[in-house]
Amino acid sequence: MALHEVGYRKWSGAKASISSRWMVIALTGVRLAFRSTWLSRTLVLSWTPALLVGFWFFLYEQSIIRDELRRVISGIVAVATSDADLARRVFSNPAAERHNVWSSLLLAFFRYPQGVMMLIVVGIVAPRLISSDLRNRGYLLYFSRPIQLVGYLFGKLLVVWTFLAMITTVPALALYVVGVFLSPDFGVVWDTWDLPIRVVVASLVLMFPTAAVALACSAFTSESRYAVFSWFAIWIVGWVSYSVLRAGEMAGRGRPAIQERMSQRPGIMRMAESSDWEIISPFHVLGRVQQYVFGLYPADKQIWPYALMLAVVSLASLCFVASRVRKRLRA
Amino acid sequence: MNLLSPAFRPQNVIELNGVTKRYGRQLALNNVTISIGTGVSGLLGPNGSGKSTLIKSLLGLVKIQSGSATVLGLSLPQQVQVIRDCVGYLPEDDCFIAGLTGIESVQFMARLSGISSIEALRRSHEVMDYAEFGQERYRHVETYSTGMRQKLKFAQAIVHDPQLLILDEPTSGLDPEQRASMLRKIRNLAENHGKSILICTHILHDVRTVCDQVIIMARGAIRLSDSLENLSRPTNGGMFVRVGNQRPTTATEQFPDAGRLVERLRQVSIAAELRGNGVVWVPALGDGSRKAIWEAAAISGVFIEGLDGARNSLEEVFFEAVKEAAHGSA
Repeated sequence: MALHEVGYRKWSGAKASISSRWMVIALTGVRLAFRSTWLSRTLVLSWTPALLVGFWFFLYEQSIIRDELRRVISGIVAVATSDADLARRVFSNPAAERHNVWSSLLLAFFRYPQGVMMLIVVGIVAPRLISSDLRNRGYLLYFSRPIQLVGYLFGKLLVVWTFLAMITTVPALALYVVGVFLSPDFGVVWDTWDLPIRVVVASLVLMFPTAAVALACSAFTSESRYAVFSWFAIWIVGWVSYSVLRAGEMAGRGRPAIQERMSQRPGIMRMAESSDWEIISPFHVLGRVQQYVFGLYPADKQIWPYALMLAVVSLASLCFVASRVRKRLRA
Repeated sequence: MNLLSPAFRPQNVIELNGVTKRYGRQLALNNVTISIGTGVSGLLGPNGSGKSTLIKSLLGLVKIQSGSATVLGLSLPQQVQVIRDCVGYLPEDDCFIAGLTGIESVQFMARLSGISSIEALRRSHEVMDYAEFGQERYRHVETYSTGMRQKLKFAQAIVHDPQLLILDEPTSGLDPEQRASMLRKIRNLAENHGKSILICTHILHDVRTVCDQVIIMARGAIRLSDSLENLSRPTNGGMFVRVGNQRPTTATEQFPDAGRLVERLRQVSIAAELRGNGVVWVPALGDGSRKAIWEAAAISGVFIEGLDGARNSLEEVFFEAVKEAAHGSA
């Protein structure tokens, strides 16, 4: 027996409110995830694109007062957004396109580098969240304390949301602030005041469905490696299926003239290239809704099929997770 | 009245009234009505008798379909969250949060119970000392042996100082020394710290060692509920005679002295029976029974080593209750 062993002692003290206990699940989940060195490296890596986009913001703001930079920035806009029209307009009058350029660059930031980083980070964090509890019967520990199923799910979702916010919301808001400070004109705040709100909403659009689907993959099996596989498979299969069907659709229409192909370069954000098959690719569906959030979605097109798709997938995923956990509790 | 106050101690910690639970067509709990008082209560029953369902119902992990239940005076399912805050549960299954060390696991459970982070760590060390953990508390739980995981679950169950402990097979996976130690701790918590404890077990020895009340379940119903003292009281079931200097001879004629005694008693119209290990059972004969046994022993030249009133053994009570249930359902 240890010298300091004093036997059992009663405990009395103030307890936190029952309604806030889910926070412990979230904090523990985040702390456990941070023990992965791969995750730390990926998080550092995920901030590097923000440096590049920050530099683009700087170039764009400088191009308003320095004409020699117009060609450079219009080239960057063309490459980053695949929008030749916007690039042309920026070349002729950059100051008039400030909101569009900022929105497009932020959307490009969300879609391309952070889209890939989201896939990797969630692929590292989420698969173990539920599957590990199912394998090791951790749910018996959670639910023997004042935790409800909703609180459990919310705590787990919060873990994924935390990391998604770290690679999307936080760097995008930082980018905005950096862009404002690097601008020679304080009118930039007036022109772009709504963008931080749009960044937050676009992040939420990304976070809710992806976290829900990731938890569904995790709840699908008690083996986290299968959960990792299913997470990546959903995105890759969706993308490949869309690409194949889209190619078939293009082939059916016949080969467009070279000039037409040049004017309609394949670009994910161009509605001119949109296809009904996008609905089967999670990446494209997310892209469309984020495009809408940033105000870049054509007014003549309907967004509700994409928004509905995201809502249905999120809800179905959460219901699936809840049913899996409830089933285990009853066993 | 503060329900969470240690001073609040209802007379019956658990009360179930006509509780029924079905899984599809299978009846897991069949109109269960029972009151469980303070102290240590043992819940016994064969596999599939409904013990685990009963425990899960008490914690609100499964919903009961009819009947009413209160735990520590709090009604289920309306106050299930408060109940869980006052109850420590040690699950039968091996369960842990992967990636955490032992001390972190206990701290995690303390924090789930609403204890602040630093206080949770201090309290976790305290209960891990009580659960006899040394430096291994800093190892990941995945590396723990079965016995250590059992002790860990015990520490997790008591970290928030609950009024009621529900321990599902608390000694499973423990070596004899650890098992005795665990039973001592359970007894200590009940006697010296006023905890009410419900032990669900298959091990009758554990029940005999620590329990005040015994509940036997079979086929989803309560077959018997009484104090251990009552169950062990001498019955009017006659006497057991232990015959001394016994030497088993052959397979067909074992314990010849006991056999001679049985034969002699039958000659005087006493329906004695030879039981295991040469013990002779003699039915109750009133005041003259002892005299008749001594006379028969003297005539047959048998040395009597001991003479005890027949008592219920927990095993007998348990098997009888289960047998009754089996016949009742057949």
